[in-house]
This record gives sequence, C-alpha cells and structure tokens, in this order.
Amino acid sequence: MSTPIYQSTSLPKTLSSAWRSFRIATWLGWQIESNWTDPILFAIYSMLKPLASAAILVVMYGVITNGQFENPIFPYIYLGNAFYIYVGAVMTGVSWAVIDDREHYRTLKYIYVAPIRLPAYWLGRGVARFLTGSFAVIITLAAGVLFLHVPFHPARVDWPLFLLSLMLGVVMLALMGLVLASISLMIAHHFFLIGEAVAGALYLLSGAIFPLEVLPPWLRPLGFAMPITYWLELLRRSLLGDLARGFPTLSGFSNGQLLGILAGLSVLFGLLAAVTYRLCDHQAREKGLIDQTTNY
Amino acid sequence: MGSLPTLAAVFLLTLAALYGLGMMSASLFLLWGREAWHLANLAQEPIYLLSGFYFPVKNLGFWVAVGASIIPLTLGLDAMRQLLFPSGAALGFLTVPVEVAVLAVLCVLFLVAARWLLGYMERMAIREGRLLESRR
Repeated sequence: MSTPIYQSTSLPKTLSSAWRSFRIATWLGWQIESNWTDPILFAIYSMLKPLASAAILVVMYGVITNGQFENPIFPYIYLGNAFYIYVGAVMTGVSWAVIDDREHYRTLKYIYVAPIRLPAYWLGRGVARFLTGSFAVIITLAAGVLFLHVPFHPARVDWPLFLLSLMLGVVMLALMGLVLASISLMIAHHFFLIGEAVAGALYLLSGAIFPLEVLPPWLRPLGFAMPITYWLELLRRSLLGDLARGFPTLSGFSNGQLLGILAGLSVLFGLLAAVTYRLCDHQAREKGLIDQTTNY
Repeated sequence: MGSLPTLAAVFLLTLAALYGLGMMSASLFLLWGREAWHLANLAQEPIYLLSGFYFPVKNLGFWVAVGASIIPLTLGLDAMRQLLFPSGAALGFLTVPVEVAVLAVLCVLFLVAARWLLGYMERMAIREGRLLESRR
C-alpha cells in the first residue's frame, strides 16, 4: 500500500473533493464533540472551564502584584491568555482526530479507503474545537471587560486588523495542528493529547502571559521563531491600540510587518505540514500503523 | 522548614484522601461512561482554582477556602507549604494540626464512601448488564 487509493487529477476536482471532505468532517466533528450530553450541560462545560482557567491567572496576578489591575501588563496578560485558548483548541482538534478515529472509533482504516482528502478531513474535524474554543474566548473576554475592567472600547478597536489577524492565526494554528496530526499517525495513544502538550510548551515561549524579554536570552530566539508570538501581538494591538505598543518585544515592527511575518511563517508551516504529512503517511502505510490500536 | 517525617506523613495522608475521592468518582464512570470522563475533565480547572494549587488558598477568602477544603488537595497543599517554607505559616489557611485532623477525617470518610459506592455500582452494573457496555 504505497500510493493513495483515491487521487483526483485535475485541480477543480481536487478542490471539490477537499471541500467535501472538510464539510463532512466538520459536521462529524461537531456531532462527536457535542453529543455526549444535553445542551445545558454542554454549555456549562464550555463556560466553566475557560472561566476557571482565567480566574486562576487573575487570582495569581492579584496575589503577586497586590491587586494592581490598572497596570497595562494586566490586559496584556489577560488578552494573551484568552486568545491562547485557540492554540490548544485548534491544534488538539486537528491532531486528536487521528487518535480518536484510529483508537477509539477504530475507523481510520475505513477513512483511508474512503474517497476523501485526509488533510482536509482532519482540518474539518478541528472546526468543532475551534467553535467551542471561540465560545470560551468570547466568554473569557466578556468576563474580563465586565468584571475586571480590561479596557475594551468597540469604537477604538481596529476591526479589520483584528479580523484579518484572527483569520490568519487560525489558519496558522490549523496548519500546525496538521503537522501534529501527521506525527500522530506514527505514535501510540498516550494519555496526554499531543496538541495540548505542544500548546503547553509554546505557552512559555510565545509571550502569551509575559513579554519575551522576561525569558533568558538563549530562549528568546525560539519565541521569535513562533508565529503565535506575532499573532498575539497583532491581536493585542488591534484591541488595545497604543496600550499594547508600550511593551518593548515587538515595538520596532509596524502592523504591516507583523502581518507579513505571520503570513510568511504560516506559509512555512503549510509547507512543513505538507512534507510531514507525506513522510508520516508513507511510513505509517509501510509499517502497517494505520489500523493499530495501542490504547492502554 | 518543619520535620521531614511530618511532611512525608502529610503528603501520604493527602494522597490517601485523594485516592478515596478518586475511587468514589470511579463509580461514576460505570454509571455515566463518556459523560463522566468529560465531567472529570471539566472539574480540573475549577479544582486547580479552588484548591489553591497556584496560590495560597487563604486569598480566596475564609468561606470559599472552607468550602474548598472538601478537596483534600486544598488542606494538603496548604499544610505542606507551611511545613516547607519559612513564610508558610503567615500564608497558611489553618494551623497544620487542624489541617491534618481534617485530612484524616476526609481520608476515612472518602475511603468508606468509596467502598460502599463501588460495591453499590458494581451490584447495579451486574443487575443491568453494564459491565461489558462500551459507550461510544
């Protein structure tokens, strides 16, 4: 089994097949994510988890700074933490689909022989987590604005920059998730989720809750190499304006430059995702890993 | 720093109480299947918040800390911090002897309740044929 079973030749056919795979996977992913309980419990679940997570950060900040919530670092931390929810949600959503289909539902082998585009299918499976993640981000932001006086003035928000950054960032995260999904083809089912593990590691390096200057000098280049760093900066600038520019990490870059870097790094991750998928898919087929069950 | 044996004893007592709580919760998995897994996942962050995992529980206020003390981690961590750090006593919620006494009560309570609950759930699962059930 060394060549894909289903392969369209023309571009329109490929795109049409990819769109169909994405659409159906989105529907399937939502069914799986939301069908384990009734809607009320699902809504509570979607609200309580992010609010508790934000509350931990807020109380920690309050204890350490003796309640200096007026300091500009507070909205910096709060917004970084709120939007970082997307990182874990999207990367896990895309990559977990491999393990879920292979180990839990044991359908990956059937999906492989079905007439679908696998990367598009995985991206579609991640949409459900993106939607629940969006719910969590909105609730966390609303709680920050309503109860913690996070400065948010709709008239002062740079909406085009915000929407463009958000869209570009989600695409970038989905591509990073695709890299992890490809790697998941080769690894056993462990208790941890690879997406959340990587998101946890990057939390430290991407300036989500502190400027990169706080890191030791030898770790900073890793932070600057991560597209998430630029994405979070753009989101903060679009929502907070001049308040976000007060932090030195990326103050030398204009919004256009940051968008360019983010787009460039996203393309780079797109290429990396394509290469990783080809390599891991080939290896998984050769080693007979497609229908392995390793859950223990 | 307090004595190492005291610290080890508090750690083991906390662990035993947490085991009891975990075994009590295990019976829910038999009853609710996948829903229980999600609920356990849901409980993670609120427990981190309420148990003072990342900050002294005292900062949550007296009554919230009293409520959170039902989670053995709360008093266990608080007692261990008091024993480990010179400034621990100032940041502690209750005194170490009181916290140890409450932990001992929780330990017995949870282990007894876990034994009863697991037995009850097992009998119910046998009666309803749920032992081999695989909920997707």
